[in-house]
Amino acid sequence: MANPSLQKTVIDGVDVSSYVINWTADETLEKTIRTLSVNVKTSISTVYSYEADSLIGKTIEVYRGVNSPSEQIIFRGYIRKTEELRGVLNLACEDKLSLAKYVIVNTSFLSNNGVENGRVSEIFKTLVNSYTSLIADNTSVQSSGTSAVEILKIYRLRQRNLLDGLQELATAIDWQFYYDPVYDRVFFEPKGYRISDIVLSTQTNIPQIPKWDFKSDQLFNQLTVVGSAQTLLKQEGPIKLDGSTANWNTTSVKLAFKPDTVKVLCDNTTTPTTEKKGGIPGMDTGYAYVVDKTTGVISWNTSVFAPASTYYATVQYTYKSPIIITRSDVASIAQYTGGVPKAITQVREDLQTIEDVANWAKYQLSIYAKPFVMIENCPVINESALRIGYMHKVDDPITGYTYNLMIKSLTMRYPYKPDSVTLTDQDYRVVAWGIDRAQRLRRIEEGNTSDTSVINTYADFVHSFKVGRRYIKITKRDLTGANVITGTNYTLGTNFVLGTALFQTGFTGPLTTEYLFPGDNYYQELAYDTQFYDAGSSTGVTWDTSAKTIAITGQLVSKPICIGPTVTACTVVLSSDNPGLSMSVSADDGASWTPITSQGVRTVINTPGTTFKYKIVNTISGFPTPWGTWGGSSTVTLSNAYKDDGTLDISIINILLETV
Amino acid sequence: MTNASVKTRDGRRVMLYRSFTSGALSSTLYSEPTKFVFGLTNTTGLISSTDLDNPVPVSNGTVCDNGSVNLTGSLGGDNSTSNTTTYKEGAGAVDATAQNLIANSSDVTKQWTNAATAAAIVATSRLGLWIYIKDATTLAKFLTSGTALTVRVGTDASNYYSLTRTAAQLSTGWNFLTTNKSAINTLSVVGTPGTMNRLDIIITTNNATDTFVAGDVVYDLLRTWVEADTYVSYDATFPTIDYNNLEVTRQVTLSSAQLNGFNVAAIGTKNTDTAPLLTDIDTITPFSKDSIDQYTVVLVDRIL
Repeated sequence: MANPSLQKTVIDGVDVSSYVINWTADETLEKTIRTLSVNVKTSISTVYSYEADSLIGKTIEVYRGVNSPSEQIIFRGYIRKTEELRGVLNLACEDKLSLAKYVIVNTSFLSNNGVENGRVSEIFKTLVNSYTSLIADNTSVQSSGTSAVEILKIYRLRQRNLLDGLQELATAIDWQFYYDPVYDRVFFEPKGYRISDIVLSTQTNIPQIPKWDFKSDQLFNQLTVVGSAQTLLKQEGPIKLDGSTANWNTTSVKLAFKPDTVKVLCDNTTTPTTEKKGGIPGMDTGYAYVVDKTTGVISWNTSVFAPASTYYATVQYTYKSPIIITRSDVASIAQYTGGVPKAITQVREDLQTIEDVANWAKYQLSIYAKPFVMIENCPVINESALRIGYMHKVDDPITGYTYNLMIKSLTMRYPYKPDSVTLTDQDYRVVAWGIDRAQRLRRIEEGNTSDTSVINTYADFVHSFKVGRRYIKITKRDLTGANVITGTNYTLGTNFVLGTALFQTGFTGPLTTEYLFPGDNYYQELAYDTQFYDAGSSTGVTWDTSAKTIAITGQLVSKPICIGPTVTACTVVLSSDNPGLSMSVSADDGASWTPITSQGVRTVINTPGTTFKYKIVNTISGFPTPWGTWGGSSTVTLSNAYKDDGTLDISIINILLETV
Repeated sequence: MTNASVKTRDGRRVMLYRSFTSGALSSTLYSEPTKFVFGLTNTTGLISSTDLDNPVPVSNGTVCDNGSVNLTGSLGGDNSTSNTTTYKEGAGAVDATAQNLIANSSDVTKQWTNAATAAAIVATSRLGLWIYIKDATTLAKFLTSGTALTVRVGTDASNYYSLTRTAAQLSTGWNFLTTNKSAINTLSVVGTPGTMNRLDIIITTNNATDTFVAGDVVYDLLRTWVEADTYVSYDATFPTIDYNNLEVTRQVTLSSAQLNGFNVAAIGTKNTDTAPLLTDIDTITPFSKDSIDQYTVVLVDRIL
């Protein structure tokens, strides 16, 4: 197989491959979200119009391949940040899993209520599918088990970031999750679960001898585990208090273990049956003895009870005895620590049986009695389908090493350079076994159970809407032709409203529009009225103010949309791209026309002027021909574009004017 | 100045207040705009604008001297002569006459006086008058540096308020000299003017030999007005609201008797708050209003 040096990059559905200078895709097990940094030429604006931060949030897909640029998709996500410098536009992108970063969740899962039944993998699926547009299903999520120790009886997310919640679930059971662009799914599975059939070998796809790193800083091969303490019952005596038995006398009695609870029988018989009362100095009265639990000594309170040397005493008591087990890995001691055990002690008070303690010690040694293996930044060639979290057989005949390692991080580049991978066995070897996993789940439950506070939820909605000037218009009607009598005493003629200086309604003196200006220099046509539609100059146009559509078979000519200011340039955007339409503008009331060659691109008016209008011609229909006849009759209908909530997204015709 | 249409911050506050306040709305705080104002040259409208730069009276106000009375010359000034060709309309004045300020060569200071204006000049009012300068040659005669033109209004020669201009503040053509948004009694004062019926116009030239003949420098229309004269209410039946297309239309018609003589370059709308707020400002390509025309101004706003 050859190197996948071909690439294809698509932004917001537009193929921008020829504008890509380079890209770098990075992902690691710790980061979860794959990132992509792309540098494109700013001339990308010829195929994809953008302004400032308008690219943020747009989708981006990157493919690469050997024979075709779109053989393998390697990234599917969103542009999160842009930076423009000296003709280069840098796009910082995150894959689709980043959607989980921007979701705050307030929900609960109870094991006896809901389809998840406390199963961690099911909870994971529900969170992903319910709160994002991502998909996590049975093809991408493994089952995490249904036994009592594997489920969460209660799991709450209280106004928490979704990604944090998913990470918490993954950490609890030491699983991994990531987004796979090939399957367009979120995967959730044990570390090292996926085994790739691609062998990484210095004989094929590893071009240089890798640096094998054997890490023994965490190695130990003898482990003592202190489990939970058990409570045992013991009886000492009857013993004569004559001192014949060491530490048993008329002053005190010393026990073999430190007691928890104590019962003392003492009298003048060889098998005493008289129970004596114990007490605490300063708090009790009439007590026969005091117990020092730290030393295991029972002292007689001789002011109340002074046994003679002929007396016998029997002490029945309970004491704590921890489970302590030591195990060794003899082979590791011989191979890695020169015959001398490297020993540590672990305290696991949650382990309550000898069997649990013994198993824990065994499993810990199986992980830590050998060094961890890592290859950092290993170049790999001729492969296009590497993914993190996958196990590969890594074969290095030159050094003689062969190990099964998992890809922990992966970097891909364009223009093509060998992929850079970091491989290790530590992440999947150091997996919490059943007991530890269960404890982590119990701790999550404890945290959720104790959290019964009421959350006040504020739902903040931002309603933003634009209030603006559609236009200002100033018209002038003058007295030319008016019936006026003037003189020293100014008398209004018949064309005036009696008693006022206002022309009568119906007076038809010349009326001119002196000034017409769209607010913010921005003309937006929504077609709900015909204010700016020149029906007389248009042909083959249906302007529907009810449906708010403009259907053009022939030619649409507008009335002036700006009168007064001198227009020197404009930028035009239609609600949709219509190759069948051609548009031109005029600033001299139609005496000359400047064609609009590209939407969203500033167009300098050939002849600046003070009366601006536009026209749109249907070129499919062939109108106009030099002979004034029409060609075909394909109608292009323009309409406003609306968002999902019904608010306006883009109006039919948008013209930004530049005036002086 | 750039053509612009802006809803000012106060205008936005009015919208918020009237859209979201529960209970009765105040009639003196964030009231709805109901009137237009017009102005001369203006800086480009901004959201922060709180008034027009140079609002002018729409209504007549008071005509103190309509320019048909000859002024008495003194020092380097000769008695003025009537000019029925170059004059200013406005304020309801129909005399169609202005005064040529004739200057002789006896003094650099040229003075003309009307000691008995037709109407008293009220000190608490705003003031304006027109001075026409024929061409650059004429303007060049005005004192190059320092006060070149002084207008005094007062009781007599010892008790008056004065308004001054340098040559750099004047231009060829008609100049509207005004106290703008201030009252006359905020001008610099000499003595203690009482009832004021006297007007003095004083031009200082560079040389005594700088003379003016008829038509070189012309004076017309001394008028006063108050702030309320700068407002004109919306036409009856406006505003109209299109609830379907979310549009509102406001309109005012300026009759053949209103706003005459001015080159209007700014339009605003104001409300009826105790201190009226400017809710909209449009800086436009100027239009000149006179008595033979009637202008209609239409503002259309919408919510998208």
